[in-house]
Amino acid sequence: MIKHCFNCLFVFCLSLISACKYESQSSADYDETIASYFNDDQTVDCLKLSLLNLALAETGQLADKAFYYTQAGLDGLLLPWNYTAEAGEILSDIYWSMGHVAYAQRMAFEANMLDNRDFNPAMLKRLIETNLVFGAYPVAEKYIGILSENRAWKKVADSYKRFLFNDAAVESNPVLGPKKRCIPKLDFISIVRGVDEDLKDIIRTNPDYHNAIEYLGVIYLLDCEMDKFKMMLDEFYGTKALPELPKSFAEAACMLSEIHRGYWKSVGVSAEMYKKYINFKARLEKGLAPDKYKDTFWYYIMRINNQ
Amino acid sequence: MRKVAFFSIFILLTVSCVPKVDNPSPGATEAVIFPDYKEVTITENIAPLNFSFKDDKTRGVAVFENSGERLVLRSRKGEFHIPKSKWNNLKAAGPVIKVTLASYEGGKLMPHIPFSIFVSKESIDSFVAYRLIDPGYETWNKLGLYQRCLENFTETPFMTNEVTDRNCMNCHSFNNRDPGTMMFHMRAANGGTYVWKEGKIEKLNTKTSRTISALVYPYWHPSGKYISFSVNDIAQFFHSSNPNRIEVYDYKSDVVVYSIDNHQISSTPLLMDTARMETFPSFSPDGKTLYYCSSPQTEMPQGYRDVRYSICSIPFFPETFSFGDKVDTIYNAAKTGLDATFPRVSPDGRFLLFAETAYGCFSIWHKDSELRMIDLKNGRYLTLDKINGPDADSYHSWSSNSRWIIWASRRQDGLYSRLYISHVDENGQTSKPFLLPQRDLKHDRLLMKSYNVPEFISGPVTFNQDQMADVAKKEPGINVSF
Repeated sequence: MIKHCFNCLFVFCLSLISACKYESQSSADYDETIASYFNDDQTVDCLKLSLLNLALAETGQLADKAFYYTQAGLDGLLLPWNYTAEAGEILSDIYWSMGHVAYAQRMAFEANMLDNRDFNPAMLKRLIETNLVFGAYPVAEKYIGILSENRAWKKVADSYKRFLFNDAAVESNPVLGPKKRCIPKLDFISIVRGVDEDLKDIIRTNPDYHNAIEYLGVIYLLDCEMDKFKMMLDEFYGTKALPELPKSFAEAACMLSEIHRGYWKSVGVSAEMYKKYINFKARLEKGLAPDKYKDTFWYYIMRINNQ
Repeated sequence: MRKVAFFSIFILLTVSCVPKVDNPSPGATEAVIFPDYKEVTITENIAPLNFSFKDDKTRGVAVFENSGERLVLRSRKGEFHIPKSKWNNLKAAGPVIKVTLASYEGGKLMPHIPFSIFVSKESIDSFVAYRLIDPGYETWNKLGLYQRCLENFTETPFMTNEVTDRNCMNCHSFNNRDPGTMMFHMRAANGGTYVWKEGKIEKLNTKTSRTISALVYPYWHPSGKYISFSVNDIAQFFHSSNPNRIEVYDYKSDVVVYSIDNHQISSTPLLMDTARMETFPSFSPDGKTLYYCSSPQTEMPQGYRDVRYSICSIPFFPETFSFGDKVDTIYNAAKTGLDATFPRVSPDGRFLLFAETAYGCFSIWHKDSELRMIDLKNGRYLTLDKINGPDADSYHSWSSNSRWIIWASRRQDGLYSRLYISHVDENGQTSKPFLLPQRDLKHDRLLMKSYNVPEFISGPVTFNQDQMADVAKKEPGINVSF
């Protein structure tokens, strides 16, 4: 009996720790993820890398600092969906960060279903959030009821009750509001056209939500899709969505100037940055190791080309 | 002295346990209860309709009265749990149970406007079979086929994927509600179609070189010798900002009939027209007509909103395992501008029940999906306004006596299907539906599974799931020919 009580207490404490951790997921947690990331030039774990990139996105640094770390193509940004609860959970976080609410919801549902517990509290929380954002209040209410049955998560669950059937409360919330404004006015078939096309629709819908364009640009850069990247700059540079270029985008703009003469100037890249690019090229041409450029998109391209 | 004191306490307790409920005052309000069982029609053999105040903080009393039978219940945490024997007495006493609810307001018991529960003498099949599944997207985890006794609250699984390597199973179908004659499919691991008949299990490999896919949506011929199926190239996608969330669609589909005795498939060019998509077959109760849905072939997925299924029929000759050469259109989507799926004819042959939606083939994901009926005696179209809810009302089946229908509805929360039952009279008039009663009133709110494909059955399914799993894992299966 004592053992049973102890076990129950242990499970409850674990759940409580998990609830507290998730409830207080903040920029400090993402900073810790970034600080504790071990960058290995040789072996890249796409799961860890996607979490790092997520942390960079959530702290507004993805397009500036993605190439500070050894990137591994798209799989390190958008973890491949391998039909496991773990991948589903991470993908839900990533799509949520992108502002792709429908797919964040889809992945949360898959992850929750694939979890062998009665439910996955973090994913149930995401289902509450996404349904609140979509205004699907009755099912959000159901999930709140289920989550609040878990004593450790009750406080978290109850904190969402004030949003039920209250669009204004959702819209004014600093987390839910921006996501709600990301929902495209015109429905489209998610992902089928490619995640980039979905992101463009999200950016057009909510140009103030910068995670979407940071993910979009980094997707193109990781995939070496320079033409599409240029089209993105042509459409969004100088607008609310992209008033100025983050570091990796500026580096890519320098490269685009090889084909489109003077392009770097047209998108506000500094002369200093362009000069750095010229120096990088010069070192390459001389056969010198450009190690001091390891944190650039140019180095990533060089590494990809050498593979 | 001690006896007197004890007796006095007993009397006091009894009185306090059964508070007096006055007649409602002119300003009385309607009680808000869950499930909403006010003014519903039930059958004599249905389990107790337990309910609660919608606001679980409300406390009160319920008085049930029917022709001299009277039951007074105090709420427990706002819930009223009706003892089965008392419930049976109440139902048997007469055709109308009057329910007066009173709730405590400021310490005073305030009666609400009474409501009625109507009791029909027409009985309902004693069991319903269904699949419990997450209303999910692409993957699945724990799922299974279950049966629920409608006369009490007993639910038992009869086939779950815990014994079949967590595979997917779907499309369970019974011949004339006979629990001893049924089939279902398993997908992924142990894939195949499984037919349970006369105490034997057959595993079938149903993909042929001449069919689009393995056999999909089934319906038994009343003789038990044939099963009609569609064959479908199915896909789905996810909306970005649409309350319907998911679109399930066919790239192409045909209808075929499978002969159980000789493991053969047959069809006709009229059911395999490359210019059309034919699906959701079902037989008439006399077995002489095959109903199905048919839509012009459409470029998919981009044309998904343009897909409109009509309900058609074609003669079927069971003696020769052959088809007629004339197609009738029962519901013409080109004329209505809407779309009809899952035609189901009542066992008495009078009514054709179907789901109507704006477009497409998978009505359960369409919030506008509503049940409709066509009176086959005169072609009259019935909108069934009393039974349709604000969300998807879809997969439906008839009771043996044609007086009850059961279907899956998402009206409760917009996503998780729950089972609703309605009485249908001989003129096609339906009664206000009632939610499948549960012992635990939190069940429907907490269950994260949908009730899928409810089918009335006359008793419990008798096969052993371990035996079924053995067949699934060990037998190669019989190849079906075409």
